[in-house]
Amino acid sequence: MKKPFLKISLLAIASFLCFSLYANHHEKTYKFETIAEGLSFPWGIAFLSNDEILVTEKTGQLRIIKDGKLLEDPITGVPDSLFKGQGGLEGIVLHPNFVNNKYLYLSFSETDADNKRMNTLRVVRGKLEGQSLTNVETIFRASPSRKTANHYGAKMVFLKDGTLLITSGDGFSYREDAQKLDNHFGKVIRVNDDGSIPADNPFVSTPGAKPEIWSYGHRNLQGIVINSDGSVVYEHEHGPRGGDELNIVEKGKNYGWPAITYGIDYSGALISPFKEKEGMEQPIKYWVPSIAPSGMTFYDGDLFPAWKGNLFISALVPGDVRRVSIDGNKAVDEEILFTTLGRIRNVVSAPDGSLVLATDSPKGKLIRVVPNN
Amino acid sequence: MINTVTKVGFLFLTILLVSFLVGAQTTISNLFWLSSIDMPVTFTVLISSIYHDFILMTLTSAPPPLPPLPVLPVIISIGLLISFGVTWIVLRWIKTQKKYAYGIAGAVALAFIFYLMPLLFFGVDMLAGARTLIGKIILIFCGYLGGHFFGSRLSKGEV
Repeated sequence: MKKPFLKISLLAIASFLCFSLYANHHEKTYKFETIAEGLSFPWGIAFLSNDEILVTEKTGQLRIIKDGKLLEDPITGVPDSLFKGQGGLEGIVLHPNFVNNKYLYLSFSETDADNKRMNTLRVVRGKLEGQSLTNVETIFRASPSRKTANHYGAKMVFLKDGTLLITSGDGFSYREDAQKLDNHFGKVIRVNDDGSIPADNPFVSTPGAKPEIWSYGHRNLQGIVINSDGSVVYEHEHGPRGGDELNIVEKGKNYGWPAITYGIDYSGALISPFKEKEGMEQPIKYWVPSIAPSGMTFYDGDLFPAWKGNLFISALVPGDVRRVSIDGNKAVDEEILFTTLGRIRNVVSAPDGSLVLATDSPKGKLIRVVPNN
Repeated sequence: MINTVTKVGFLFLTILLVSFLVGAQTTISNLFWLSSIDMPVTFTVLISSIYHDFILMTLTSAPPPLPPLPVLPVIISIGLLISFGVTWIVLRWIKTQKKYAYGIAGAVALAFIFYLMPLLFFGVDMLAGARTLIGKIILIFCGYLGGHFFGSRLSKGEV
C-alpha cells in the first residue's frame, strides 16, 4: 500500500520541479521596464526615436514620451474624436519618409457631421512640428457611417511601395456588408500617402465597388503588419465567440466573414454553419476560444535573436502576448508570454530591438520588454 | 380555478416557447442571408442550425464574464414577468379575453427588450435577428404568440 503512494509523491515532486525550472527559465530571458504610466487607454504607438515615443490615448489625446518622461501637455492640433464604446483616438503611423516630411497619420472614430446619431472611421495626416500637428488633412473616411460605436479596425501600415493600408472594421451590426464591395465595412483599404487611390487597386474598375478596397470579408481587424522585406502582409481580426483569425492578406481576396467563420455569435447562435468555401481564404491560424487579439508586430530586432522573424500578438483576454512562429505561409508554433500584466492593448517593436507593450486601462502603462541580462 | 403550480408551469413553457421562437428567428434570418450569397443551405443545415441555436441560446449558460445563466431565457423571463404582472392587474378592472391581453403583453415585452438593448450596448443589437425593422416585427410577433399561448392556457384552466 505504501509503495504506490511513494511513487505518486515522487512523481508529483518531480513534475513540480520541472515546471518550476521551465517557468524560471522563461522568467529569466526577459524583464519588464515601465516607460510611462497614467495613460488614458493607450492605443497606438509610434517611435520618433528609441527614447521619443508618440502614444494615442483612446480618450482623444496624442501624448509624447521623451527620455522616459511622459510630457504633461498633449500634442495640439489633433482633430476631435468620438470616445464611445470601442471608439476614440486609435491608430498612429509615421510616414516612411517622416524624417524629411514630418507627416504622421492618425485614425479615429468621429461623429458624422451631417447626422449626430451616426459616426465613422476617419484617417488624417498632419505635420508634426514641435508639439503641434499642423496641415491636418483627411486621407480616408469610411462610408457609409454607422449607428454603432464598435468594430472600427483603425490599424495602419505602409507598404514597401509607399501606399498605406488601413483596416476598417465591420461596425458589429453591419457584418453582411463585409461581403459587399459598395461599402467600407470589414475591409482592408489601400490609399496613396495623400489619400488618392492607387491605380492598381483590385476593384478600381469594378462597377459599384469602392475603389479603396484592397481585400474584404473581414470582421474587426486590430493588427496589420508587414514582414521585414515587405513581401507579406499579416492581419489579425477579432472573431465573435471564438474564431479570432490570423491571415495573410493579399490583393483582391475575400476572407470570408461572415459567410465562413470558426466562431459563433455572443448570443450562442450560429453566424454561419460553414467554415470554408471555395473563393474564400482560410486563416493561417485561428483561436477558439477567443483571445481578443488587439495589436501585432513583426519582430526583426537583435535583442532577442531567438524571436527574430516571429509575430507578436497582444491579447486582451485573458491578457498576454502570443509569439507565433511563421514558416513560409504557415503559423507553426505559439508561445504564450507576459501573462502577468492584465489586458494588453498593443505590442510594437522599438528601434533598439526591445518590445513595447501598452496595457488597456484608464491608467494604462507603456512597458518595455528587454533581455534579463 | 387552476392552481399556482400549474400557472408557473405554463409560464415556464411560455418562456421556453418564446426563447425557441426568438432563437429560430435569428437562425432563419442568418441562413436566409447565407442562402442569398449562394452558400449551400439545405434542409438538413436548417434543422441542425435551429437545433444548435436552441441548445446554445436557450439551454446553455453564457461564458464568463457573464453570470452562468442562459442569457436569452433570463432576459425574456424578466420582460414577460413584468409585462404579465401588469396585465394581471389590468385584467382585474378590464374584462377582455386573456389570450389577447397576454398576447399583447408578450408583444410589448419583446418590443421593449429589442428596442432597449441597443441603448445599453452602444447601438448594437446583440441578437442578429433584431437588426432590421422586419426582424424586430417578427420578434414582437413571437412575443405575442408566447403571450397568447399563456393566456389561452389560463383561460382553459378556468373553464
